[in-house]
Amino acid sequence: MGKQKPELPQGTLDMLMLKALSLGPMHGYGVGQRIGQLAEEMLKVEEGTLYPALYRIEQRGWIKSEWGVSENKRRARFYKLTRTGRKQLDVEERSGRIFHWPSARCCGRPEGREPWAD
Amino acid sequence: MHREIAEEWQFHIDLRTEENIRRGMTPEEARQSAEQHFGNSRHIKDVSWDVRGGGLVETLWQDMRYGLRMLRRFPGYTVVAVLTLALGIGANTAIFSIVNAVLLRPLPYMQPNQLVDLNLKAEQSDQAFVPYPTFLYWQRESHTLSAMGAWTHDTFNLTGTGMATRLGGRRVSANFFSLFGVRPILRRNFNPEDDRLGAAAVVLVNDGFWRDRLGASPSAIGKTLTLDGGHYTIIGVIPSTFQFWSAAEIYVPIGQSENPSFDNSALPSAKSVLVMNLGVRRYNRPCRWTALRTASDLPSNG
Repeated sequence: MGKQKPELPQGTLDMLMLKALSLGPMHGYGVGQRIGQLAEEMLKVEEGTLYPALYRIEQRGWIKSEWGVSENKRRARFYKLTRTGRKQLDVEERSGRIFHWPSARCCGRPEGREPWAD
Repeated sequence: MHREIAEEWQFHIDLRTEENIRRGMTPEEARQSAEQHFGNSRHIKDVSWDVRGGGLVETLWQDMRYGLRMLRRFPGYTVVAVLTLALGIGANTAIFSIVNAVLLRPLPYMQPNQLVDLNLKAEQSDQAFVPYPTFLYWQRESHTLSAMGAWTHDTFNLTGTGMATRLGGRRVSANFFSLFGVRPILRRNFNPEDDRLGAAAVVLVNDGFWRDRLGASPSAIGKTLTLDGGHYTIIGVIPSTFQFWSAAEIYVPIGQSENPSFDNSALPSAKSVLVMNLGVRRYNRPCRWTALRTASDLPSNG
């Protein structure tokens, strides 16, 4: 994979976020954690870049947000997948695009598919 | 909007800080590392605010508030700017009002685009007038013009009521007011019979005259005015909605004077002929022709 700073293709990040949220509503920090589990490369990226992406897909209607209370009793903004978002995620997963992220540990690849050389 | 975003990010950084502390960093280190790891605030902020931070209205509102603050900081500049604006707007409005009244608004007459003003000008002199006989001739002979009326300025000496005053008025043909669609209120307009030599002297007064001197009373009709020594019966009032060139206080039939072309030799007045025209394009030729003819055979008046 090389030493370059990982560039996140916009679409892939979007999909990762949808995937992360498909496991349940979460605040921004939590989304970042989950994406980090799904794709190790994400851990190296500045965390702040998550938010423009979140806002963007919120504008597209794939997720929606509301204020809530976190585990440690603080006010936080929670994001949740919408029906449109869920549909989008299904489409993307079936098309196989989500697997082009190298070293992604995304769940459920179809048999025998090994799109990256490593 | 921006506050909400800031709060959201602060929450994130706080959680990261706590995580760092759990991993063994000191609080200062933890926070520093968290903030660093969050990333380049400026760029992220710009992008976020483009996407989410407040719509158009909010940005506009912010800009307005900023502008007001700046204005308050430099009052001298503000005063100059406001004065300039005020002057500009004032001048513009003034000019437009004039242009509007003079050029843009249609004339307050019935069918103003069918009114034409005819005049004759002798080559040698600067005066332009139409001899009354010529006018009568035109009136008889013209085919293209549906009606012709004539008017001329004149002044009259009003005596008999208090001090003698000089009134500005017009001598008009009997059909003058009907050309504009103006009907006198209270009683009647001129008749063709009024418009002859020797007919009973009648006068129409305008609204201002009626209000100022006659007390706006209906019984003023039928009273007489002594103008230039002659007795004129008031037969009606011209409404104030009628505007024609300059103001005229009284109107007298033109046909009653001996030689209306040179009336009151003190004022060689320009006399014009008004026509109601049904087809502007056509009238040029016949009128020129009739003018040529009148030059040679001027019928005598009467």
